[in-house]
Amino acid sequence: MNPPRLLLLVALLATSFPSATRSAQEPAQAPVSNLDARSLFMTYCAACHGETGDGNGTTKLDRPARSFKDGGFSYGNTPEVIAKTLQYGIPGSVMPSFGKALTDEQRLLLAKHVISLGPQDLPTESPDRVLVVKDRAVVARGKLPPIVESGEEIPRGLLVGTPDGFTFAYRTDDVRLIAVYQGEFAERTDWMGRGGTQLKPLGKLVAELGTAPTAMFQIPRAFGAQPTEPAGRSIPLFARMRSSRAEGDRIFVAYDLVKEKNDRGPALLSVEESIRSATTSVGSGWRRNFRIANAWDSAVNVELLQPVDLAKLGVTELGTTRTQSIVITGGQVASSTSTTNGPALLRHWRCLTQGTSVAECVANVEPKSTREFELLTVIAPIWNDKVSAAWQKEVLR
Amino acid sequence: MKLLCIAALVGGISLAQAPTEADSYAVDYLTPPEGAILEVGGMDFLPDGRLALSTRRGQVWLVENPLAKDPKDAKFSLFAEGLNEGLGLKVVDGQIHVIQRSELSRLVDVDNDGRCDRIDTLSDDWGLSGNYHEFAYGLPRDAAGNWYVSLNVSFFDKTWWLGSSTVPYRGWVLQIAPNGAVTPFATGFRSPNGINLSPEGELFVTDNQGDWEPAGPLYHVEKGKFYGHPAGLAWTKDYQDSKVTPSQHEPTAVPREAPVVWFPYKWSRSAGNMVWDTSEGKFGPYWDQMFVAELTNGMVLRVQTEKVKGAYQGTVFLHRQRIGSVNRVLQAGDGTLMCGFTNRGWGGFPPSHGVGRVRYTGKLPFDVQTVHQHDDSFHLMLTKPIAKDCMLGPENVVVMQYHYDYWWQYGSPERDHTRLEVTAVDARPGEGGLRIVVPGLQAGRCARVILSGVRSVDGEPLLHEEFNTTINQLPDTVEPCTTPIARIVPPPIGRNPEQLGWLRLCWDDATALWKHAGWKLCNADYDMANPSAFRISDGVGALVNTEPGAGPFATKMDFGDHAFHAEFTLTEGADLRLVLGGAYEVQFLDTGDGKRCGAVLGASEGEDRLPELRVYKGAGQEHAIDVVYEAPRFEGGRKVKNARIVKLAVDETPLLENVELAGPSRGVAADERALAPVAFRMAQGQVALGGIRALPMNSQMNPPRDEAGWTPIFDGESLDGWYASENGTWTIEDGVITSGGKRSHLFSPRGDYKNFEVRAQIKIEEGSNSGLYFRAARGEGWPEGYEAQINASYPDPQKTGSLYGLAPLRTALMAANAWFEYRVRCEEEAEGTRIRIWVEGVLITDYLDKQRKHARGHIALQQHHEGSVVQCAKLEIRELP
Repeated sequence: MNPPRLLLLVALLATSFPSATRSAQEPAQAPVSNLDARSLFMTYCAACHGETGDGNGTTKLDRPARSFKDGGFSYGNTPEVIAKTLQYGIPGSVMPSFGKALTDEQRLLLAKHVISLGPQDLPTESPDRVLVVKDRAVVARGKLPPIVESGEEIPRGLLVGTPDGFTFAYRTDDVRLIAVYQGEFAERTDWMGRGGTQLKPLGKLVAELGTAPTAMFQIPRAFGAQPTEPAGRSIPLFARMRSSRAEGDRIFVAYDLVKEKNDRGPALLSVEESIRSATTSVGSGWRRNFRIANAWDSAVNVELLQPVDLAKLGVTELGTTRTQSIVITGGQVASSTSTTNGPALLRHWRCLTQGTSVAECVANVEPKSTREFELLTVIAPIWNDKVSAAWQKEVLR
Repeated sequence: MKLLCIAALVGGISLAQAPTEADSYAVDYLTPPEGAILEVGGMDFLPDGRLALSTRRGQVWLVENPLAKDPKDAKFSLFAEGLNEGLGLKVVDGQIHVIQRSELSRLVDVDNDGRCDRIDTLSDDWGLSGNYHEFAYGLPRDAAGNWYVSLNVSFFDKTWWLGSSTVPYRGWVLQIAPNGAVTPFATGFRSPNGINLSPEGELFVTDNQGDWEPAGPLYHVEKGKFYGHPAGLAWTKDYQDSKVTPSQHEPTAVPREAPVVWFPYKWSRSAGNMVWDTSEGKFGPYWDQMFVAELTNGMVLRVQTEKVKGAYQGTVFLHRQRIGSVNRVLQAGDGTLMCGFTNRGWGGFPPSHGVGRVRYTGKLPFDVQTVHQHDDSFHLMLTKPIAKDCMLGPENVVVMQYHYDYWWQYGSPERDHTRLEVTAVDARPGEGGLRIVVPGLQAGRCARVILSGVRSVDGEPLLHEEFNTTINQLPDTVEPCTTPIARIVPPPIGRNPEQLGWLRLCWDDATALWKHAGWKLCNADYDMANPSAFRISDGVGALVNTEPGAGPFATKMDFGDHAFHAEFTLTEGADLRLVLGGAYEVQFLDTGDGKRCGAVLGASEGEDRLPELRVYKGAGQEHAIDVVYEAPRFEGGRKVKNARIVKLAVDETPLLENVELAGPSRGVAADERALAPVAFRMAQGQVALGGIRALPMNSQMNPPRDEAGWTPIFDGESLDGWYASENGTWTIEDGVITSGGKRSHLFSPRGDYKNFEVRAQIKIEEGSNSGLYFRAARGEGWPEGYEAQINASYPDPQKTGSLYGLAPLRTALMAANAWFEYRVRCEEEAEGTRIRIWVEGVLITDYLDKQRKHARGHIALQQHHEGSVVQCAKLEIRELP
């Protein structure tokens, strides 16, 4: 029998972006049949990036498309990496996904053409300190550099590199997703000297999710800390790293939810999550799948918090003045209206459908069974009725 | 007649070809895949005989046929990567476990494709601050399933080697239960890179010398005890309750356990882990003894222990040298000692990565097998009977005892070397026992014992003539000894730390103070495939005579009486000469017997003085020279006293004392002089030099100084009449001016000094910057005037000895926190203003300012920035006409 399924979709959307709708959506034209790189470029790229790749296209953009003249791509200089950008788009920017419009072969061809528009001697060889993701997902542990300039290093870090060119940075102390990068995977900088230096993500920062030690899960106060605690207060749960597992193009990160940091006793619940990129016609982002197991003889209620500091998610494309939205569908939504994350954090969130906020998404995990969640986060460059309709149709189904 | 001939022949062969370590212990090397750099941190065997090894680069490799006869038949495959270091590995029930910097993990191959798919975190309940030196080492496991892990302290301090413990449990050995729960087990460790359980289940740990660790110790570790480095005490209940942080500079009152052995520094500078020989003879005659990895000196040491007064103590022996940077050892079932190499950032002997094997060839070495401690004697058992005609007496044994300092500075010299009288040596010819009677033996000291002339029945000399016994206790004395070998010394403020006050002649800018034609600052690797020349690469590792026919490497400055220290490594057949006083040569020649390592070459008719002891370890091995030299004395141009080598030591072992130097060494065409440069000359081969420093002595006598005319400009009590600019604070205590506050300059009352000599005792702290101004104009901001720079470690490249802006010196001659005499002479000459600067009586800078930029002015002391601290005492001036 299939476990009960709770689907949770989150989209972080910006609305007040000027009309660049066309470029943000899948291109309308049918894929060209031939493999002429130049005509592919003219068809799909030149409108924004200009015929010569100088960034002066005919489409009027809020912020000019980048020029290819100087080379030095944000996500890495190899054709393979640029082809991935073409495939998945760039979350939070007008750069769309060409995952459906083009074939692998066409994207690679186009990527080589784009490189040829720039300087001819870009380094493409990786030194041996560079970890590369090929067709298998890769996980690497090490000390991560600060996510943002003023931040602190993460001594216990874990990077998940997926073949789609995304890198997901976790802090294993509390198994928290703290940043998402896109581009090449990572570099070990500690093969000189005595070691202990950083494991550096090489991609470009797509989203910074905050490093405050906020729990991702809690026992909701409405339910009490079952099975052992009385009702009356919410109890944040500490995630205790259990394992990382590679399976094909996916990495599964497993952790136990316990009540205290150094509690080595049986877990209240066990979670296994996997993460990968996601593309929608609205924008690109990532998808987290949670599988929550309850080994106890009685049901456990658990509340999924969304430990995303929205103020930090703005990266470059999302300004603080823009309204951002969150979507919750499916599953159960608690009746309580207050949130533990506090109104300040959620002030700019707008629920597109029934419900209030992610902070109140509660799952009831039956005894000796599992529940599955999916949390989809998309950073969309624009938001309007048309996109909203597309979102309703494509994502919310 | 016939028999005699055969005996003579046998004797002849054995003399010509004394057995070597390699005759009994062969070394070979596995061949890792092209491009793979295996910096081995952990090793264990899988049940099917494959070797699993973890590396500092976070990889785990599997090796098939690791014991194959031909090492090329061993095949490597990558099992896992992306780990956060792997300085310990253990196989349990066929599963590979690795201690990473950040967690204890089990590595699982879920789908049986030979690659790790799942990494299970068994425990990560200890702190990581992010400091680079927070290594985690392992990985023994006891019968109850508990793991043992040792955690390095952090190095945050600006004095980089000063350890701290800002997160739990840096400096501890942890016990980790099967469910991952961490128990802090014992503390007092600094860099405990070696940890293992004996076959009896007792825990042993090696540590590295540094602060509070006078040399490399081997500890028997028991729960709840303290082993010497105070940082980790922060996490004990007493310190937590009192909210006091253990001092980095004051010894703690917590009782301290003595190590089982102290490894002599000349043998071990960075010990790795250890194993016990459980092969029952497959690894030679040292059953049940311990073999210890030593990476800096590239070898495996042997330790034999015994219980005396209820605690382990023991003896250290050389076992097999010239293997590689051995970080991990592991014994295979057939007795083979697998050696995992790494040296990145830790210093070492080539090869610096990969895997080697030490195998017993079956040729029984003639060696000291065991040493048993008695109150007045050592009872030795040798591996073979002593030759019947080998008559041994006290003259065949040297016994020296010494102890160490327990203090915060890096390492300790061997203190109070005392040669003890050997009253009897009892050997029964035809048997393997040997009793050395030394009535003066003391507990609370180490004993270095050097044998000579011992021959086996088959005519072999001892393979290793020296051993080193740690005597914490004597067995039969009723009262236990309460004096530890590492003794608390008075607080460092009251003593002159060993290397402070020395002129560091190659620090930072290695060549500025030297004539160095044909020499180069570079990295030099000893290459066993081509031992007659170093493999040279870019770097700052050593000074090497890279050019054929390179000239002498000679100081630009002259020295009189002085102590001198240098470290050197020779290529095969190299012949290094240390030239003292410009005329007297000491030879360091690479030969198998080491007889000419420390030979003073005689004058034309005189004989060479060869060292009494042999300490030379061979080509590719680093050695340290320490010499105290007394210059010849002249009166009216006539020599009235010969020069003398007061003391010559190599690797801290005194070789010669009081060698009078009647004249220049043979072949040296130079006059004897009271003041002369120090030089190195290569007669053949190559040398890699480093760590060169000199301590001028008898500065009052040599050169003779005229003390007339000096008057204080600071009375030692007040700053009346002095002017402090801007926002500094200048305080006086015990005749010492100390700077504080923000930028400021302290101007002397008088401002008309023109031609003069000025001198002072100066001391500057780490990261501080100051200067002694002269002919300075009083005012705010940076003063106009000449400045003799005072800077040991502030980022400004101009260091102490510089005439600021005019004659920069980038060599960091004088360390921080050391008192030194600074002297400046400034006078008008026909061509310009001549300025000379002496440090500790040695003329460092001699500059002629043709511009005559500053005519007269104040003497002033600089407070360069907030946080800077300079101290000045005995500020005196002597005006010149």
